[in-house]
Amino acid sequence: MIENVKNQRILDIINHLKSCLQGKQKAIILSLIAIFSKGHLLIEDLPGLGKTSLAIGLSKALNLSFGRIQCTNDLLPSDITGLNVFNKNTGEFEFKPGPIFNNIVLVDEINRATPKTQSSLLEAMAEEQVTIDGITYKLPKPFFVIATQNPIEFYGTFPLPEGQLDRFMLKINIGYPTQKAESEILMKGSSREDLYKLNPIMDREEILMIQSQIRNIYISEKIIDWIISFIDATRKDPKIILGLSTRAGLAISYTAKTNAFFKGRDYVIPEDVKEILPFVTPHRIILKDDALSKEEVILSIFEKIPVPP
Amino acid sequence: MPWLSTNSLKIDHLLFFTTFLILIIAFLGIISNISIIFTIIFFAFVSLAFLVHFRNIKINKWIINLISIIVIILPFVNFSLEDIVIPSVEALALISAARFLSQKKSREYFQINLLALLLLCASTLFSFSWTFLLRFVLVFAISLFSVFLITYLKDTAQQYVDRFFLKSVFKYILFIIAFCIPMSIIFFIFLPRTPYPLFSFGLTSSKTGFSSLVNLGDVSSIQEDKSVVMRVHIERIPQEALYWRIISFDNFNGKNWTRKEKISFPEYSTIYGKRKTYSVLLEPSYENYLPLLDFPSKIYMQNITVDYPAVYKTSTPISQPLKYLAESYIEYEYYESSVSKNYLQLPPNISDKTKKLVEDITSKAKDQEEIINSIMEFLKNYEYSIRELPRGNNPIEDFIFNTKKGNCEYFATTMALMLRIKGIPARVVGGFKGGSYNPLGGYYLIRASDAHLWVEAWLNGFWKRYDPSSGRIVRYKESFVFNFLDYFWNKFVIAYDFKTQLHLLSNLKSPRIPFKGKLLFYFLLFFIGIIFIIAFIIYQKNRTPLKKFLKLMEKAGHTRQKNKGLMEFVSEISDENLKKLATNFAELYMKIYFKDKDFDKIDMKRLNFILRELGAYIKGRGSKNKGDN
Repeated sequence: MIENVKNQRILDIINHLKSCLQGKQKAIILSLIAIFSKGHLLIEDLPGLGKTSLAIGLSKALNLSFGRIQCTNDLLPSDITGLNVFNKNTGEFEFKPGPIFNNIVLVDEINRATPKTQSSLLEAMAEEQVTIDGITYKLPKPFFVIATQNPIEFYGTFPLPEGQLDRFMLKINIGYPTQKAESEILMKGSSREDLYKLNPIMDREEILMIQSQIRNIYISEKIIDWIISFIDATRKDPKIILGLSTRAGLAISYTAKTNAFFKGRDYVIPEDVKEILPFVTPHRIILKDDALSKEEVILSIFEKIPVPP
Repeated sequence: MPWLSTNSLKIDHLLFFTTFLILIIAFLGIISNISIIFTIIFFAFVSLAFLVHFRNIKINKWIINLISIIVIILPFVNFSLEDIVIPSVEALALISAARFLSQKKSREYFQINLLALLLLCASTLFSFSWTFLLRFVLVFAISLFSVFLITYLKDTAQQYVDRFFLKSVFKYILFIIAFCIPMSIIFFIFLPRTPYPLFSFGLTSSKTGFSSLVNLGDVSSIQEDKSVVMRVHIERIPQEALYWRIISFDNFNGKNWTRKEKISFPEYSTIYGKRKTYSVLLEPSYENYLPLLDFPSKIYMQNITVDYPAVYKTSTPISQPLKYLAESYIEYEYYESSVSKNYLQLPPNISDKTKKLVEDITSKAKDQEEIINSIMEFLKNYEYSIRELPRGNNPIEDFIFNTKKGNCEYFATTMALMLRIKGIPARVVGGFKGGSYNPLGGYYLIRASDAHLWVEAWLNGFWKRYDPSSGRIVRYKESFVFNFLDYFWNKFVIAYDFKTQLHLLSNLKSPRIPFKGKLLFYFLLFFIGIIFIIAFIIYQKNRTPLKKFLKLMEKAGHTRQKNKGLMEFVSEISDENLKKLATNFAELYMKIYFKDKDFDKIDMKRLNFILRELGAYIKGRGSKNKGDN
């Protein structure tokens, strides 16, 4: 169970956030996994289920700066990255950083932006730097993008191709809260105010330290072999046109390590991989038959690979 | 090799090396019998396999299959129906090499082991010497090791083994071998064997025996052959009496000696001398003649025909090692009342020049004895050599007048002819001379290189032996230990046949030694018991903790599916107590397993402790359930 976090520091964050983000424990954990694996998160969900709240909550609890980009089809790349503005007083161009120069960036409805804007955003995500007029600006560390997309509305949208989706380490959906959680929300009213008042639990330094600790978690060759045989199986499966990439394999091992760290272990066991797999892999493949569910296809392949030992 | 220096060894490499060893040991048994081309191909494949293995090159399956098919066909390209064994063995060797080249998983390793075993068996078709035993024991030990590794690899999917593991495997192998040896000795003694060889392929082998026709120069080709012809178990006898007689020739046509099959025995003959009894262990000669110490009087064997003079023949060519007991006289006086005219025959092409030479040599001789001595003296001027022998139309005259260089054949032939020219009946005898004595084994070892031809002359009613080339032959020094081993192998293993077996068994049955039979029974029982115990211990130890655990859980009604991780499996158990215990086990096991650590003694103890607890709990639960019902 992914909710079964044992690491005390991580538990502190979760418990802290749980008070204002009722019924989103799983989403919180998955976002944390994405952050600590140095990856980015894509949330595919309906509007009004608390994506923004989650992003704000995370940034507050982790004491990180927060930026927000609301995508529209007239959004330009420079609206994201920032641009050089002429300063009358000094007579020089001055760089005015865009919202991407934040630790946590919420990119709302990313599929509404034009492909040009999307790709400049994705490029920034991959390189962790932005180049404007020949000058390269490093993005702050840690850098974490939460992108959302609306799966229902298609009119006037530019859905991200799978190759671009591959750059998101995890893709999750928050889903409707349980009845109990929902009634609690309604009773209390929107907790956005509380979110902004949230005390930080961790600081930047600690996050970076944990990130590097996680990279040192031991992953056995047996597990690597097992992951590779799974990846290989997706490439050979007749139901799939595009199988998993090597980047997908890397994402699996990174997130599995983070999951192991969350569970209080310094080595990876198969269950770590198994738990994060439904969030790491399905969005990266292309099926022959659109009618099938990517997740189900992936899991049915995965079930056939014997687990070590 | 960096992987050698680390504490844990990769099973894959280990398996590769053991398989390589097995293959090479098996192949060495046949290397001298198969053609050089296939030997080269074999080694090319094997060295290629090294490259493929260590460079991690992947070869397509169909290429390997194609190679396999080609190497099966290749040896048969120019084969004859007479000799189907060698091409088959060649094909077998090449297939195993091709297998070795292919990608190897446990299945292929098993196959190569099996092929190597077949190859080893096939080598016995060519030679069945004590080195086979050595090879067999080696292959047996290494195969055992290899099978251990393969099963371990298959069952645990571990990639590495440590020295501790290897040590214990070695221990088991030593145990198994230690108990197999007495068992196989018992089987060897009691397992019924056929009185006739089951597989008697007419294998063409190098000729070491004398046939009924000797071309001049034939014996010299034998004389360069160092292979063992026979071993004779006998007390030490004087060197000058060491003539091993096989066949005698009467007819010389100028180029070769032949014998008339039917020369009648003389009316009266008698022999005096020292009687010696001995046993001969004869290697296959593919001829019918039996070598015996000169002069033979008796042979204790059935189906033997005796031709005049003292030529002993078997009914079929000797294609298996043969052991026989015989009796001979040494330092003998052999009298015959009359002699056949055949012993005065001369070849048609004998020249007057030769006759004149003989007259010149013997001009001073007063009697027949002096004639013989003067001829012997004359031949001392000639040089002994086994190379550059005269082989023209009239080789003997070439020898006498031109080259003056030859081996025993030329000496003996010349002397016999000269004697005949002078009217003295003479014949040429073929056999072996000398042999090296092994004092520890108490036997003479006779090699093909000891082949010899000498002369017998009928002088005043007595047949006397004359050796004109005596003392000219350089003898070969024997390697003591190996011949000794060879002798024992032949005497106690090869010569152990149906008859000996029957003899031994009838001895066992006799009432004189009933208690020995009982002892043997206990002995057997003891061994079987110990083997069972060892097998059980190995079985127990070979079961990894995980296997034990899964078996226990199965007993408790929880079967793990292949796609379930251990933790996942454990977390699905409904019984809280059981779940707790099982989780303990899984956590400990995973911690070692997925950190790629070795299970040391303390870990094993802890794991086994949990397993015992689990076992006790499951048992208790089971009985409780029964009680409830």
